[in-house]
Amino acid sequence: MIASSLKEKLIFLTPILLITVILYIMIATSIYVSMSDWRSYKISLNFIGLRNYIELFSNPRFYAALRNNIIWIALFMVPTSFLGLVLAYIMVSTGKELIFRTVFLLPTAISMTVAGTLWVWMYASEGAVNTLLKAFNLSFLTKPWISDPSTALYALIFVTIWQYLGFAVIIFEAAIKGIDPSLIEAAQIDGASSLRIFWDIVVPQVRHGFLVAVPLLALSALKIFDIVYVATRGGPGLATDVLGYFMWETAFWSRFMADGAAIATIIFAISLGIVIPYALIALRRWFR
Amino acid sequence: MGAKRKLLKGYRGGLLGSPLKWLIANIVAWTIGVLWVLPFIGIFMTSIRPFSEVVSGWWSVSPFTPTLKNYVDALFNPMFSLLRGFMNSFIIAVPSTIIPVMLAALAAYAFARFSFPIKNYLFVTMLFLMAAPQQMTIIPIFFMLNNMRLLNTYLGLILIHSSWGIPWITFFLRNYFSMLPKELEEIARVDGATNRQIFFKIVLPISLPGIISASVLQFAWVWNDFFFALMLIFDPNKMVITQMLPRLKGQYQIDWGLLSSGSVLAMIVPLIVYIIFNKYYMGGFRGWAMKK
Repeated sequence: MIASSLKEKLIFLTPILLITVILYIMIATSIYVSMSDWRSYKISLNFIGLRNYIELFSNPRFYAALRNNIIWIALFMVPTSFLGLVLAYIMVSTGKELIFRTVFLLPTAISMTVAGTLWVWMYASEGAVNTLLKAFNLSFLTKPWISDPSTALYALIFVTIWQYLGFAVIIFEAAIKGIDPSLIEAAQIDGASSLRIFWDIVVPQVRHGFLVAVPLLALSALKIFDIVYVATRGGPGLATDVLGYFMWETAFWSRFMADGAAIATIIFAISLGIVIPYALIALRRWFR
Repeated sequence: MGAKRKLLKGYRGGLLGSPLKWLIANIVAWTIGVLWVLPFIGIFMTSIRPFSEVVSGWWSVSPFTPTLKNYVDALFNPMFSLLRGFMNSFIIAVPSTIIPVMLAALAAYAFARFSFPIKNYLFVTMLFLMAAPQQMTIIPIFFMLNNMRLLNTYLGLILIHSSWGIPWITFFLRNYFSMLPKELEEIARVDGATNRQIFFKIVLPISLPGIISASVLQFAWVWNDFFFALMLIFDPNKMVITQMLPRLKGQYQIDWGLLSSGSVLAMIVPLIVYIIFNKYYMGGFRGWAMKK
């Protein structure tokens, strides 16, 4: 550590202190609003306790959105991190890292609004997916992917996998390169197959990569909003409704501010549930 | 370097030992790779041709009549001019990158090098802020900006993006700074330099790659953001490009010509930034995976 005067510390730290305090005040305000009776344009902050939460927990739409979020997290996080690891392994092994890295990271650079628009076009009745199926004589498989309630959610989840895969690839690529080469050489001398090396050496050795990728991917899936807004508006029915979109519609469409704040608080609570274990592990490493 | 080459060689012996495995690995990677760029090619091909040509698949190339009509229509759209949106996105994204990176760099240096009483607690509270969804702060933000008469202004959105960026950039740069060797700073201190001089004259210049990585990611994040813009800007003349795009959809039938050129326009800037700053962009992602 470096000696520094109080004045210096204040110069360096004032902005972050200020922002941290303001953001926490806002979070506290939201939590308070979630326990108020504010349900119109006009601000109204009478305390009514947990009534909004109780109402929310008896609203079937809340469970539909929560269910979709949970499906989204599972079907997004698992394939993205697994595929990311496999592709990173292939890239490092074949030595064609630059080209693949560039391709897989391309979708991470664009806005989710644009990604949604691109894929609405891919999924459209005259779009690429259906036209390709017809070209392969698979017409019976064609469908209006995002207006069919049975496929809409999965179609959107795939878009998020498409967009975030590059992120997982690059995390795991860095992690694989950090493996001590002698471990792999020793296994090879013992005659281990490449699949065994992958499962017994690479997967355990890149757990640090999982530690980074898994919570960040889970948080992204939990906070999903843009693509739902652009592609389906939560529809058809409630097929693609998620908490983030439900919150927006409640607070800023119906003007039920208190109820919207309650949904936001629940999203925040779930994200803390995801982040706290990660933060504990990370902090133990930093502040020993 | 030697170790890396050895590692690669080790893998070649392992995974690529059998030609069949090599083939399967390549087929998997290339298939996914092609699938991953397909939507980009599709939207581009749609945007440069009249719609009648692409209804039976944008890959059919006869006839092929390239036209810029869709782009002209989108850029000079009477309701939502993407040219305007383009400029608005720049007006918002540039200051929303510079301000938080500068402020966060100061804080990050203090976290990396100074000792102060509440340091660890402050750092943890910041970490939790990064978990907060945008929805968690939007109601107070909305009414605060409304009271300050900053709703529907560039300044309001810039302030929000800047504050939202500071915690994660501080976290990111703190990791970067703490990996720098301390020797240079110690020599400067022996020579009588103050902390401020050391920070601006030594630390900032040698950590330029980290600063660029953080700036590229923050710029892309702000440019690509939809939620804050949707909530805080309503005037079509002030809307950013990501916000205008969904509004080009049309009332009854989707105008794919317009929407495809609009998509290309909305993604062209972050894609150019990505290509130019490729190394830093990837470095930014890798920054999260670093051990320290």
